[in-house]
Amino acid sequence: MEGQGRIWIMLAPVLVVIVCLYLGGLFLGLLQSLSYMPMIGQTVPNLQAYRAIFGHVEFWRSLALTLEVAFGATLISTLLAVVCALTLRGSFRGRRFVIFVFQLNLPIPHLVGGVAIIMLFTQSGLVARMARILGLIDTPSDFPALVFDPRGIGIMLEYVWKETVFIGVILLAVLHSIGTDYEELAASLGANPRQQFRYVLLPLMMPGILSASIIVFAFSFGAFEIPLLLGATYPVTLPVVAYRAYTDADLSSRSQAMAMSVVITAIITLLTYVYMRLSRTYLRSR
Amino acid sequence: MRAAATEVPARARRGGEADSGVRLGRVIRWAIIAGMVVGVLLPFVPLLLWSVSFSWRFPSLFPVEFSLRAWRYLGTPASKLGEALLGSLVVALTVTIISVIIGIPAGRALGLYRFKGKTAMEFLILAPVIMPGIAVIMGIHVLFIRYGLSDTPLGVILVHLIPTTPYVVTVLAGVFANYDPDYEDQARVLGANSLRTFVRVTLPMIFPGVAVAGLFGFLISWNQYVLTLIIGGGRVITLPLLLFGFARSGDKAIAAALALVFLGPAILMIILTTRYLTGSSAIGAFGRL
Amino acid sequence: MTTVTLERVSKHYEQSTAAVRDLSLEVPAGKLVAFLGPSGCGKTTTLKMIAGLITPTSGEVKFDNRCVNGIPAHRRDVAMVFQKPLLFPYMTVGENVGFGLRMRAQPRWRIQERVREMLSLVRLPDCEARWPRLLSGGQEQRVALARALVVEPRVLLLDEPLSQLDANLRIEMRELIVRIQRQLGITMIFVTHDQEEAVMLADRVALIFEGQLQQYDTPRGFYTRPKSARVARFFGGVNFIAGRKDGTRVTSTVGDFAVTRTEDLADGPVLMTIRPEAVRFTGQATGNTVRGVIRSTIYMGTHVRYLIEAAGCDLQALGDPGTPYEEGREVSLVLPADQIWVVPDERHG
Repeated sequence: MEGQGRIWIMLAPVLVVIVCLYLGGLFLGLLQSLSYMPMIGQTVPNLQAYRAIFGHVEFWRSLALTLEVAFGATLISTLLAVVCALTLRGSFRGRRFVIFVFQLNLPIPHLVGGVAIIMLFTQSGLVARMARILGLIDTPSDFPALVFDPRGIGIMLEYVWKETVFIGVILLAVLHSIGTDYEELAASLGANPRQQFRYVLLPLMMPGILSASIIVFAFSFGAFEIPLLLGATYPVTLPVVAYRAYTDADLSSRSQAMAMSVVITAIITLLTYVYMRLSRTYLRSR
Repeated sequence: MRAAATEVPARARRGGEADSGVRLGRVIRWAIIAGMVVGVLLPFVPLLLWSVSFSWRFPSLFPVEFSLRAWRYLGTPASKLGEALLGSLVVALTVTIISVIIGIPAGRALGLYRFKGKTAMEFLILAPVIMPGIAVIMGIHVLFIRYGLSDTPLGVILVHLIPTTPYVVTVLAGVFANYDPDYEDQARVLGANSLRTFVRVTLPMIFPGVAVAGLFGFLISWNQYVLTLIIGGGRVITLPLLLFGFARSGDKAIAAALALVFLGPAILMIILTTRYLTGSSAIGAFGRL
Repeated sequence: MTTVTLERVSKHYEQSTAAVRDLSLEVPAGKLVAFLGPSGCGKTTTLKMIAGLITPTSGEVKFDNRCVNGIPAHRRDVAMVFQKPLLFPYMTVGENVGFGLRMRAQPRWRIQERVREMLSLVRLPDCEARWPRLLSGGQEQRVALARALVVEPRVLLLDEPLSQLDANLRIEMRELIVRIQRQLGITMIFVTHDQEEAVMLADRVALIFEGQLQQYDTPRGFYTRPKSARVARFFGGVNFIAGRKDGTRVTSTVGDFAVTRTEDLADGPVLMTIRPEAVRFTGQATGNTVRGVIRSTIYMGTHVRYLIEAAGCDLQALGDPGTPYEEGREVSLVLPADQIWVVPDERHG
C-alpha cells in the first residue's frame, strides 16, 4: 500500500514547477506591482503603480479593447461552434472525412494563423483581391482595414478561426455522450424538432458550452502574440501594453507593467468565477 | 411518406436518426459543411501559394511568377533558419523529456490513487491553463536574472515547463487511470525487482500514452513565443521568434515558407494521432497551441 | 382506446440484414401486449416504428385502421417510456412530468392539476419539487411513467422499462403497470426479454426472433400450443422426442404414441414435446408408455425433478418430494395423449 508520503514524493517535481515557477512568478509579479523591488532599492510597497495605470487613459482604452475582442471572439466562435457541432452530429456520407478536415487546425499554432490572416485580410490581401475581381473595389485602400486596425478585427478573425474548431470539437464529444435518446423521448411526448432543441438538447449541452467558452474567453483576454502581430499601433490590447511597459527602458514602468499583469490576471480570475457561479445557478441541479 | 417531406422546420438542426429527416434541412446542412471546410482550409491556401511565389502583387489572385527563392533563402545562413531550428528543437526536446520524466510519477499519483488534497492538486495543475502566460513570465523574470538564467537556453527550457507540465500530467493521469497496477504485482511475485518491473512491465504498457503526452509537450514548447521572447531576451532564437520577425516585415514569401516549416511537427502530430487520438484532454491541449 | 395494427412492417438497414421482417399483428384497443424475444431481435425497432421514431422500410403502421406512416413522432399521440428513465436533469420532477403538456401549450393550472394526478397515480405524491438526481431508480422510473401518462396518449409504449431495476422493485412496478393499465384502459405495448414478465403481465404476447414474428398468442398458448420447437424451448420446454407423424399416431425410437392435439399438422417428421409436470410415473405398460432409468434427481423444494434416460432420449419428469425415487431405478412413464404437443421438426425441413 502506498503511503501518503510516497504519493507526495511522486508529485513533488511537478509541484516544484507549479509552485516555484508558476505561483512564484505570480507572486513576484504581485510584489513588483506593489513597487517592491529590492534590486533597485525600493523596499516599501505602495500602490503607486496602480494609481499610475488607473489614471492613464491608455489603460482604460486598452482594457475596453481587450474586453471587446475577448467577448466578441468568444461569442462568435461559440455560436459558430454550436452550429457546426449540430450539423456534424447526424450521420451522413463522408462524415468522418468532414470531421477530420474540421479539426485540422487544432494543432496549428496561432502565429501561423496570424500570418495567414495577414495574407488574407489586409487591404492587399487575397480577400481584397477577390473583391476587386468581383468589381466591388478598385484600389487596396477601398477595402476596409481589417488587420492592424484599432478595433482588433483581424485579431478576432484569427481567434474565431481557431476557437470555433476548439469549442466545436468539445461540443461534438458532448453531443455524442448525450446521445439521441432524450430527444426521441421528448418527441414521443409531443415536442416538435424546434422544441426538442430548445427545451432538451440545448439545456443538456449548456454545461459543455459554458466550460468551453470560458476557456476561450480566458485565453482571448490574456493572449499576447496575436494582438502583437495583428493589432494596430494604438490602441492595443492590455497584455501588449503591459509588455511594452515592461520592455521600456524606464525602470519605473516595470512596476506599472506588473500592475497591469495583475489586473489582467485578476479580471480573468474574477470573470471565471462569476461565470462559474452563473452557470451553476442556471443549471441548478448540476 | 409524403407528409414527412412537408414537415420542414426552419432550423433543421436535429441530428441522430436521419429517418425522421427533413429534405430542406439537407441543403442547409451541406451549405454549412461547405462553409466549415472552406473556413478551416482557407488560411492554408495563401501560405502555400506565397511560399512558392516570386512576386505576387495586388490585384492578381494567383502568383504571377512562381519560384523557390523563399525556400532557397531559408537554406542560406543569412536566414538564421538553422539557428532557430536548432534552438526550437533543443528546447522542445529537452522540455519534453523533462516534463515526461516528472509527469509520469505525478500522473501515476493522480491517476491511480485517492488522497487528501487531490482535488486541490488537480485544480492547481490546471491553473496555468487558464491564467495568461504573460503575468507569470514577467514576474519570474526578475528571479531568472538574479540567478543568471535569463538569456540562456536553460532559462527558456525552465519556463517552457510551466505551460507544458499541466497537459503532460493530465494526459498521463488519464493513462494511469486506465492502468492496472496488478501487472506489476504479478511481475514482483515472479521475482522482478523494481527497476526491471518498471522497464519490462510498466513502461511498455503506458508507452502509447507517454508518446501522446510527449507529443503534446513537444508541440506546446515548439509553439511558445512570449515565454521565449522575454526570458530568452533575444539571445535564444526559436522558430516562432524568427517567424514573427518575417511576418511583420515586407517579405511575405519568406514568411510563408517559414510558417510551413514551423508547421512541420503539427502536421506530423496530425498524421500520428489520427489513429490514436481520443479524449478531450487531448483536444484541450490542441486548443492552446 | 386505440387499436394498433402492423401490416407487413419491415425495416432494413443498409449494411446489415433486416432488423424487422414482414411483421403483422394487431393490438386490440385497451389491451396490454408484450413484445418478447432475445436481445437484438428487433422488438425495440418495432416499438420505435410504432412510436414514429423510426420509419419502416415497407409496410404500414395503423392506429384505428388509419395509416400513420407519414405522421412524425411528436404528432402521433403516443408516449414512450425507455429503459433508462431519462428524466431531464435540469428540471424538477414536476416539470418533467408536465413536459408533454407544456409542449402542447396547456394552461399552467391544468398542467399542475394533471401532474398532481399522475404523481399520485404512480404513488409518488408531493414530489413535484424534487430533483431527479435525488431519486432512487424505482422512483425515477415511476416519474418517467407519470410523464408519459400525463399526455393521455392513445398508445403507451414501454421499452424494457423494468430491466434496470432489481428484483423486488420489478415486482412492485409490474403490479403498478398492470393496475394503471386496467384503470385507464389504455392500449399498452411493452418490450421485454424476460419471458416470465411477459407471461405475467400481458393479455397477449408477440414472440419475435431475428425480426420475425414467431407466434402471437395468449400467454397460455405458448405453453399449450407452441408453434415450433424453438418457441417451446424459449418457454422452458424440454422433453423433445423426434418421430414421424402419421394421422394421430407418432412413431419414434422411444415408442409409438397416440396424440390428440395436432392442429392440422402435416404428416412427416415431427417433434413431440411434453411438459415435465405432465409426465406421470405409472406401474402399467398401457399405451403411450416409456421405460427408462433415473439418471439424476434434483430436489427443488416443492417437488423433485428427475432426469430419466429412456431409449437414448433424455426426459424430465417431476415427482412428489415425499416419495422420491432413487437414482438407477427403472421406471415406467406415461405420456398422456392429450398432453403431448407436436411441432414440425425443423431439422428435416
